[in-house]
Amino acid sequence: MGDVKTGSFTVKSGFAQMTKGGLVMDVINAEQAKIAEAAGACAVMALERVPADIRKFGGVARMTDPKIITEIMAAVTIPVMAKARIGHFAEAQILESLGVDMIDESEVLTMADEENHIDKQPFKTPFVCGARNLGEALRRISEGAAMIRTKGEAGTGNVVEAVRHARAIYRQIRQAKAMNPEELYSFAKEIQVPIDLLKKTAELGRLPVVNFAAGGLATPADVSLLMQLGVDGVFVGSGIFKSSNPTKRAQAMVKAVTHYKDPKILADVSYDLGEPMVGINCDNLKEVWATREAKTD
Amino acid sequence: MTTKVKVGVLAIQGAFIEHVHSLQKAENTLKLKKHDIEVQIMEIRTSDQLNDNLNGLIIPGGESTVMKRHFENGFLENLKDWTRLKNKFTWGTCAGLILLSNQMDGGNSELQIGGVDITCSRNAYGRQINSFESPLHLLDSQLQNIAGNNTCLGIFIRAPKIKSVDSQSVNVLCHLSAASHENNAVDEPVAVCQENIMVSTFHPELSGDTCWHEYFILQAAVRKSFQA
Repeated sequence: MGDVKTGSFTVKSGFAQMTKGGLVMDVINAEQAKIAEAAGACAVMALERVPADIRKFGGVARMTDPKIITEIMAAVTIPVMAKARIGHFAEAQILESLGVDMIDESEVLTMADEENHIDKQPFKTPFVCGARNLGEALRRISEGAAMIRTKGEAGTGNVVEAVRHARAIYRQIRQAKAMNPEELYSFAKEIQVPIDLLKKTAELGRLPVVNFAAGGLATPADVSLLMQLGVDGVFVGSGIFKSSNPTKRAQAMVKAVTHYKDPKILADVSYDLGEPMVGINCDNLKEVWATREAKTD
Repeated sequence: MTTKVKVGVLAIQGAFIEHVHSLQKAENTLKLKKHDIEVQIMEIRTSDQLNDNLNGLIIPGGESTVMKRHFENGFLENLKDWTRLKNKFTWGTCAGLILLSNQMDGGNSELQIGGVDITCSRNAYGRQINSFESPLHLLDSQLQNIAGNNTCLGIFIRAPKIKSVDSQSVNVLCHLSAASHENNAVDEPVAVCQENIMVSTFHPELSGDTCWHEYFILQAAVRKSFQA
């Protein structure tokens, strides 16, 4: 090997940068993956069950069977992501060996370690992790995450939690930006993050990696709302294949990510989309997933 | 007199903000080098935004399959016509190179903008795990002048390859040397230019080095006075 470096943070975060302005779609088989690619998804998330079904069937949710993942990888030319349980580095090692393009250390699956997240630095495969606020986002980045997403309640079709998380992240960044150095130190302690990362975030005025919205997005209007709040792109799970016309809805959501600032185009693509997925009110959830984070103290 | 250059960045999907930021940085660098130049940058999302007011266009990295989804209602035809005008300069990186290639190895070659006589191959180094960074050799003398030496950093993300250069009028600007990459038997062209269209398989907008964006701005400025 000559001068070539693989798996550097530049290369890992660069992958996330290429997905910006795009929509990552949950799929459970090769056929759905092809529909997603044809509709204009910038990547797919290979799953055994979409989050709505994980909620319905209960039990322990784990990494997807490698058979399903490799079939999906063979079916499409766009990047394929897959989920590992929080803290389950062995699942992540397996996913890396399969060659998935990004690993989602995800609260949608049952937690494997309540004390520790995966040390993501040694992996050559980039990771995306969920975050409810700036503290959680920067903790994941310090562990090596190359991309962040909100932790909206997946499988509900209710966007309220994703909005709460996006609002919290951007509000706290604005607060950090306005602080002087002394205040930044105590803010770093308060939100339990490394000072260097917080300083960098305050300087940039944004997270140092790409940030997507995820959890509960079901309509082009939901996409536009989150994009206008400041996210770089969106994940859509149950919202597509649990609706009455997945292809049409997928195409509409793809258009919405690009044209999020143009209500005329949004009205056009929202026209006669058919039934969206049946939503769940987040106040009535049996299990809240967003609070799944390994202990931080 | 100040030369005013108006450039568009196709903002359908991908790393378009990175190009906008690199163009801003490149403009400042050019001013420091005593170029009397002013750059105005536009994000292009719809066909009507791609018009004669623009002097240059960047088609960024991202997924070419996603961008093609948006090429409807005359957008593709407009892109083809616009990029062929001799007084315009176009640059495609990664997915942009795929869209601007005249031939594609395998895969769906529909909805190509075309314009450069090369055959490209998508995801040719493999999946993300094979993405890499490496020093590259600049062959073009103007680029060497701007960079101040004959190397630059190449960041390759699920990158395509230029499988073959299919015309004498395609000028190789930069290559990845055989010594750099274990799978390469020969020096490999990674950036080429044919008349008024430049393409690169790697991502100068991610490297922090502005030499390619300076080159792009200067090319767009020079061509302003050309006959369309």
